[in-house]
Amino acid sequence: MGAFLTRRLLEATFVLLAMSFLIYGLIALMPGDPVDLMISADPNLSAADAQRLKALYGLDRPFHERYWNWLTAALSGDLGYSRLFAVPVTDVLLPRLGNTLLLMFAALLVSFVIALPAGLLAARKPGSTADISINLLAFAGLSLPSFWMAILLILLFAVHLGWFPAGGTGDGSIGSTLQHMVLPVMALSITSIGTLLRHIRASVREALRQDYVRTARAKGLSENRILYGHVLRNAMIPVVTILALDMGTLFGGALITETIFGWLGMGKTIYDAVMGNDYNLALVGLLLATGTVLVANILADLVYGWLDPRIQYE
Amino acid sequence: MSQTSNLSANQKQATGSVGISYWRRFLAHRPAVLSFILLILFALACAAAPLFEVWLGHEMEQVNLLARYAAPSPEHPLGTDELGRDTLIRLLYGGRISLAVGLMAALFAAVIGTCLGILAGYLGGRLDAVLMRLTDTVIALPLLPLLIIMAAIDPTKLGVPREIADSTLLSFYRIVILIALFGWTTVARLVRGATLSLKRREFIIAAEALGAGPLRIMVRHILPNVFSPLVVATTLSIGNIILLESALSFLGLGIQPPLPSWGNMLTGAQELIWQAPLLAIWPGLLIFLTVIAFNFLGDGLQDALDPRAGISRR
Amino acid sequence: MRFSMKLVVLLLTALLSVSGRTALAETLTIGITQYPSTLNPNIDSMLAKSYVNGMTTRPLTHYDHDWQVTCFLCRNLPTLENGGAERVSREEGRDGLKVTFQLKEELEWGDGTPVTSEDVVFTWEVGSHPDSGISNAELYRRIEDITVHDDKTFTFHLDRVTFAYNSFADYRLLPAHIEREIFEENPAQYRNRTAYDSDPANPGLSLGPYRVSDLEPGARITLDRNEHWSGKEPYFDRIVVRIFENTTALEANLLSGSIDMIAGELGLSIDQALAFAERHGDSYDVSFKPGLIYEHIDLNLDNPILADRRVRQALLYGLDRQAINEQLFQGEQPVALTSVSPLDWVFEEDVPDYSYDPEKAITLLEEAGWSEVRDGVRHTADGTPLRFEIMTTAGNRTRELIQQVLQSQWQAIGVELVIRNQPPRVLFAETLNQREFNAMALFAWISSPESVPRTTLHSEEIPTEANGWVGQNFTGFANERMDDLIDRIEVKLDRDKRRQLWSELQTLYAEELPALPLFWRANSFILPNWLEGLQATGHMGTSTLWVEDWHRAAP
Repeated sequence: MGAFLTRRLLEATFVLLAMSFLIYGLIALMPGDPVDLMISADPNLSAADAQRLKALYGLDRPFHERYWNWLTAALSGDLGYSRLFAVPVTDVLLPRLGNTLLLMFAALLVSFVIALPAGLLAARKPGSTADISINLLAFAGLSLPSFWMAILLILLFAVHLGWFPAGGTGDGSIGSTLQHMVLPVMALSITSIGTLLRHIRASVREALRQDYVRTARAKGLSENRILYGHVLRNAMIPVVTILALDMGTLFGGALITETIFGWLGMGKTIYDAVMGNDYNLALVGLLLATGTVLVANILADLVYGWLDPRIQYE
Repeated sequence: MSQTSNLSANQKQATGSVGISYWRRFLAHRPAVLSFILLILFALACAAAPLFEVWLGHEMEQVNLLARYAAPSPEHPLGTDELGRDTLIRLLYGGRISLAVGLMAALFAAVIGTCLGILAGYLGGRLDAVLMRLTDTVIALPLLPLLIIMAAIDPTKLGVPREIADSTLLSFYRIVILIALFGWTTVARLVRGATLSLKRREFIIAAEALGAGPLRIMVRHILPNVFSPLVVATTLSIGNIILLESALSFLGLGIQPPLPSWGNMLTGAQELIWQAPLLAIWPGLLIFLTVIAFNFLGDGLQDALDPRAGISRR
Repeated sequence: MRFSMKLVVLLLTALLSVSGRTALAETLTIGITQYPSTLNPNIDSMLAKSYVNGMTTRPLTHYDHDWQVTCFLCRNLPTLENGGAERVSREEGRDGLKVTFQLKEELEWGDGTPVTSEDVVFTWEVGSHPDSGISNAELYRRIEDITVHDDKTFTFHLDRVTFAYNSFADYRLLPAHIEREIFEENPAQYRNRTAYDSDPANPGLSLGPYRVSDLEPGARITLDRNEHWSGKEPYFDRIVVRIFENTTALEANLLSGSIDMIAGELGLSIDQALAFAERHGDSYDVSFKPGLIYEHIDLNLDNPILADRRVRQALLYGLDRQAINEQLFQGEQPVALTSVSPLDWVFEEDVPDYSYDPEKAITLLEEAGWSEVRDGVRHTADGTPLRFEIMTTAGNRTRELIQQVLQSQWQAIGVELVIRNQPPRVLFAETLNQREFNAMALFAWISSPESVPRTTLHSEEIPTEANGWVGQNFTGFANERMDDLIDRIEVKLDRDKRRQLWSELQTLYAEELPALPLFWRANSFILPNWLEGLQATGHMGTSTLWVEDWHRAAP
């Protein structure tokens, strides 16, 4: 177990390092470096100023040297400043990571609360009208463009009915935060409900075919007992794996949702950073997002083992 | 929907009877058949976009400031946008782009994925380990923000000549390449799995005994046999790719206007939601219908070609 | 029973007192579309920052509603006439100026520390330090030295003669008692470490009627009364500035009452505001004010076709700008004659007129050799098509709209226009600076009253690789007369003679057309019916510079 964790953490670290190199390289290919941006902001800068500033920020150094400098600084805890917010990037990112996790967990919770009973219902009565309609709905959820969904929600609930705000994070109070969360969570849940529903349905049906279910039935255990006592636990194993693998996708969904609803989360921050040429913020933001997803994967592996004691970590 | 046509029933039916031809199994999957017809209709309509221009008497880029936000009328069956351009015609041209991106990127991804999957599965060893670790990692990454950063780089800094970098179609090729670059993983895994099981089958062992080289075996014997899962996976991936393209275009980093795509037609729709809510409906509806159709088609093909495989989609 | 009655009474009184208090504490919530990247008044120039800074700090001088320089921090405006400014000769033989200011006696920072000449000197030190990364370094560099006479009186020694000798709109004082330590520790890092961003709620940073009391990056800035403000007492106790980059959300929040108004400086586009006025014009006070925002098309004069003046003139004759203004903007965005605003006192009305005249356009094109029309596009005899590429900021709907109209109007005179847009982050950071647009770029210049167009029109300001892409003369306009006029206007102190030069400059601009003038962009103010005292300036000075005049209408 300890060895397993160590290995996974090492792997995650390696992936993060590789990503940091890749993204740093990509950012060098972005239009306009910080000094170009200063020049376009201040027409009175002279050529000498430009040269001096480039040297001051180390932009005249070769790429590998710049990366190395960035990496050593980052490892010693200095992740640099955001151009858009003029504060250390971590000051921007950490609260926003919180906002994103809040959104993502709320969406996951809602998805589970809806997908679990529906998936069970569908799996228990294969071929019934309920099964067919649930399956159709799952397909629909999977195929909905989440940004369109978000726009439709705004159109219905914010423009026509005026029930919920069309965007923003609220004024900081709990009530207002909840109010502002409703639409983004709805938009974000729909796609995951589709995915979850299909997986729960498939794996519950698979579990129901297993021998121990037949044995339990033969023993005369009630259908509910079998379902909740044995089947569900086994059926959850593949679902958890899928969920963990899907964290990256969910994060992408969060990016779109946050951008449309103006929810101040990581996804929107990364997007705004790219659009606003705040490259350091984009770099650290994407690394933080990747790190979070990798940690979620490792956690899922641990839950997996807890659900299925037969699995040994090596 | 009649008894025989539901998804689960025919899955059972398919597993039960062996001799039924692919075609008949496919026809039994009514949603898939309907989807197929719908997709053909869409493709034909998009291909016939110039005919619609002649018929309606306006061109795609024709601006009419006196008919901005016009309601649907015989002259403009779906109304006009903020520049008075005909919505229907733009949707048809947008459909060409969206469908082309979906098909091309899926095809490229399938080619890359098949090559890597067969190589990894057949040759095994370290290559296999490395490739599979790579796919695991790519699948776990938050794809959308990464794509956003990649789409935002300046191609001239990569050495692409400015004439090419400035061409209208650049955004089209860029998105196809980017998606193919990350989209191969699902196919690679699937093909690798199939190759692994084929490798132990008698006919391969026999071919090896007869002195066939690895290349010949991979191309002549394995490739034809992984064809069914490949077709299924590729069809299913088209839907996802169209979703991804539309999301990127919506965020302003995919297809660039004035080239229309269903995604970028929605970009402005959010701002205009008070003035012209219908503009937000049409493109999204088409994305939704197309994606759900590809998903049903894939599902039907799976039942027809590869009835034993469970649900293998993400 | 009696007990519960008591409870009810208690609760009621509590409720009443709460509501009573909220009624007393007047809050105004403003929605804007951009978050200021920093609150330090001297780093980066950005509209959102100017907007907030207008309430929390004040410049030494600024332009008033009549576009005249006026004192904000000083007691009297120094002029040559009143002796506050004086022409002096400098060592190298060039003349300079001496300008003496006296700060208002009662002026204090928000923590009670008096504002003194030391703050003025410190601000200059920061501004002129080569590593500080301050914008407007040029403003500080032209001050060679500062003589401090006493706590409130000081003299600027300017290294040149310029008519704008007493205009210091961008000279925003920094509190030496807070910032000096941070700056001196590491000047190169001052940009990042300034207390305006690391400790924004420090009251000592404030020099205006309000101070920042709380903020959430990207979302909200809360301002409370500055107790040490010595000017006119503002009406509102608290002002909350909320940021919605997304205009749909901005509008929805206004309608739901979460915000009271949408700032004109950073709010809805004209298109959206016009549509809003149509739907909700009765419940809100929607007004439009053309600003000093010059929407135009920069022409790349290195393009051989555009190098011909007749072609440039034909293009402008072939545009019905008045019709565009009426159809698209309901007449709210006046047609620009040149780069000088009609609200400016140096504006010249009598310049070559380019009212819509397609025949004249065609004649000019024919003269220039574009006489063969094939498939609706003009060609030269040797087969070169009259085709241009136009770029603008992708995502800006109003500009994209204008582009489409240009395309269809120019088609009528046989000019083909190809649209190729770039996101603003690429267009402004690279394409324009490096003159990578091959024919036309549609964008806006934001300027100030009587701003000399040196960086955009002087031939020394053409950005090249050799000069590190510095300068804003993106068109590559090199005209000796223009250079000469610019040089002379800057040093001409006599108003009447300067007015004459300005008039020549505008005529030359209209004759040569280095850029095609389009419109003066209007700001759209959406205010609650009950708000009074907010007055748009029409120049870059935000309405918030007079926030203490805003108040609720008497019922």
